Amino acid sequence: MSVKRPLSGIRVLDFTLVWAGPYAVAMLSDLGAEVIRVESCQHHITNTRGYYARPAPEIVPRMGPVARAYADLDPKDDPWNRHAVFNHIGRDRYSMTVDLRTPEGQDVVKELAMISDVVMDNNTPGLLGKFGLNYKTLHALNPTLIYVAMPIYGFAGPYRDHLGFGANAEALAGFSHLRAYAGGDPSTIGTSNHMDASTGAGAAYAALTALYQRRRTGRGQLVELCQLENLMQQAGEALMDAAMNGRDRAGIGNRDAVRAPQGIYPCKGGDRWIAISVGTDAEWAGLCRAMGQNGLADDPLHSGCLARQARHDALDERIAAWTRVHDNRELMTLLQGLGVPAGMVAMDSDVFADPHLEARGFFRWADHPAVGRRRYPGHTFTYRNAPLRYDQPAPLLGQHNDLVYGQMLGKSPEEIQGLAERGHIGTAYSEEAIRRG
Amino acid sequence: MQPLADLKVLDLSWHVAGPYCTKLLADYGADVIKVERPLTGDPSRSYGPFPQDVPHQERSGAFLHLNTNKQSITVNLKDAAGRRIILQLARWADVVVDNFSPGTLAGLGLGHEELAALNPRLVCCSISNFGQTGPYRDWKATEFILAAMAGFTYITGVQEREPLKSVDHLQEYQGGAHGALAIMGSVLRRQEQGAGEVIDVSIFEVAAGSPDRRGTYLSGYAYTGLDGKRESPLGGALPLGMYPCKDGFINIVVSPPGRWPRFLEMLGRGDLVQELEIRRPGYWATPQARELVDTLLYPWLLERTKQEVFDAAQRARIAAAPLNTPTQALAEPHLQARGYFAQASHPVAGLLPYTGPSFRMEGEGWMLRSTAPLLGQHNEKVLGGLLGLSAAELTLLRETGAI
Repeated sequence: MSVKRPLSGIRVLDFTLVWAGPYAVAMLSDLGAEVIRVESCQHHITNTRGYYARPAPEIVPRMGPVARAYADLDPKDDPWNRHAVFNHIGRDRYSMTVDLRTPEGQDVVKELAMISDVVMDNNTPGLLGKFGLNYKTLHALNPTLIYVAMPIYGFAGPYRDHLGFGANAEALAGFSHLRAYAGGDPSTIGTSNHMDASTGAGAAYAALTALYQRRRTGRGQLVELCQLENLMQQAGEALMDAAMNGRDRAGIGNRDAVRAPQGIYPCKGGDRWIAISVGTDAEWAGLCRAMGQNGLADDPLHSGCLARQARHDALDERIAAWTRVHDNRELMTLLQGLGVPAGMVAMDSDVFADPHLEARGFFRWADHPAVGRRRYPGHTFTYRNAPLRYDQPAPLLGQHNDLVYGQMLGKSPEEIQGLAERGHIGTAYSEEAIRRG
Repeated sequence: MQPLADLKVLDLSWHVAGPYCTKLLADYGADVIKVERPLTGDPSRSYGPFPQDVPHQERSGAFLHLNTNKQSITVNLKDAAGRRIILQLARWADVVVDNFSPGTLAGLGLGHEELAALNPRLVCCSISNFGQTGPYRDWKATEFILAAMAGFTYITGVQEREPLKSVDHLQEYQGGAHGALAIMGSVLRRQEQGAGEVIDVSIFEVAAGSPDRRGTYLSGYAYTGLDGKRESPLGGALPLGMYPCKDGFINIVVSPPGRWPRFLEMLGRGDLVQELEIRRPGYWATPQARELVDTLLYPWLLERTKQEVFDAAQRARIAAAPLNTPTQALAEPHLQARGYFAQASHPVAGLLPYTGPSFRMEGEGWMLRSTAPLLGQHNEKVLGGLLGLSAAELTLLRETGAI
């Protein structure tokens, strides 16, 4: 028997948006699931295929690093096919379009649900229900269907209907509080959307767990991944401290509660830095040797993390005076050679130039019909035996309408033409969708 | 019956990443046998936090959080009799998880080849800092170092200051979550094809490849040739981040220009929607727009509590939420109403709240069947009951330090 991908034969309907949901789906398609992304020409979902349906080209370079990520900073006539974020996490799936506002479009989704195994949905709770496509309806048509919903705040509770993004829930979870400059004003911590990554991995795990259970029960089910709750797991230690001692850990910048010295130190060149973290006395001796200060290594006043914590400010000055005149990649190599945990504070370009990631084949070259051959971050784990997929970046909007309507749903050319005339089938957003932004 | 009730896991992992991976499996029903070093156990038993800051190996908050629903046995892997126990358990298990430095298990004669020879259907998952291959394989790192090398740290914080680390252990948790999903993929394939697997999770690659923030920035760089900095990922004038109000801070995200009208209406200035060309493409990225937002937003916020802003934002359909400290998060009314935290009593640590389900299923899904095990609590049950060793054999193993 040839070696199949783990999810070979599993079909996923993808109703996801922004980052968290599409990433969860990417995990399933990496594992070999066949994914049909259900999109609509009548509605451009912001923050997914780019922020705006059609941004003014002159403002693109003034946008932030995530918003501006059009191939060569040029949105051209089809910006929705040219945005790096979606082209990366929307990889390896089919795209079909349908107007969900009409009964005819809703019937198409029902037909797809009947031939699918999993639905992935991170829309606001109840959104698909408005179109008569809630779990109950789809489950009645296909009792083996697994429906993974990822509401930010869950299906119940006082915030159920609140609008929220990852950054909001991180604040609520106590997460943002833990990430701060020492004594710093919380408004300086910048934005973070770690929750999207956390949800992405968590929802893929949830879908796989439900698939495992279905092998035994033969039944599908509704899985509710409340994004806030899933994220809270990752703050477990701080929550335990709060429960045990009634106290809130304050942000301590780049230091560690135990290890010392630890910090981000300046290097040669503007805005270049190195991260160093010393735990054991052997690591401390390695750092002292690298700095050419062997005497410091034998000094009993600097023996043990507790002693070094007490002198952390002075040590930081000493270390910074040394790092300041050196290249951060060279320092990283030197320190690692002496057994000291150290890493350059890499910029995006440094990560692409990293020899370790290169040697492991982490980055992938892939062809895309709208933007050509580009490099993408690759898999987050590897298998020795089963193959993982990384074939194509995200599909063009509506790229696989013929395949989905014709081959999968068995529509005749006449029916397909009719569906196209009634606005279901297309490869561009409607003028109205573009005007709405 | 919980979904993973028939899944048997031999857990050789410690610290954070591996234990979080096996916690995800155990919380959904898997039978996880955790192997710890005799006497000292998993190093996370010494991390704390501890009640009143008094160290105690059964009262570490990190260990208690990460090891729910598992059984603990103590085995000395450097002892031949100890290694025989591991090999016997590898025959019993469906899955083995470790996060040792690469090569450690192979050096002890417990490598994937040895285990697969005994049990060809075994799924072996190794989670490590840099993965099992490559030039950095044996480099030393903590989560702090890995986040820096993956580019996460450089874009965190403000441009005027040094880059800022994120929440401790974040990438290790992500590594554990990816380990769990990689294991389930292999378990599903094994059911159909009867084949085992060897999984290599590199936390460095998880940090570089997870979507936000790394994958988004890296793919953006590949498309534009521009490095991200410590700046708003969207740019422009609309609020994105943490803002001060009367009694604390609130996180506000107003991303697309289509939300201008709602945002101005929230501030009681709906009149400006017609007056200004706010829908004009590019207006949102102008200095005038930024000035307008600052002039209107800050005074409005400072007159209101974070709860009042939260309520007003939700009425206007603007995404916002207050900044909670961990103690406030524990008392968060929404989570209380959902019954999220599970109160449970541990024989030594006492009654504590535990984080609840990662996701909820129909029927039995997530459950807190048992709090974290005492060190070696299940030695007799596992070695005597499961492996059938006699009382005399157990005594001998104990005396020779094998367990």
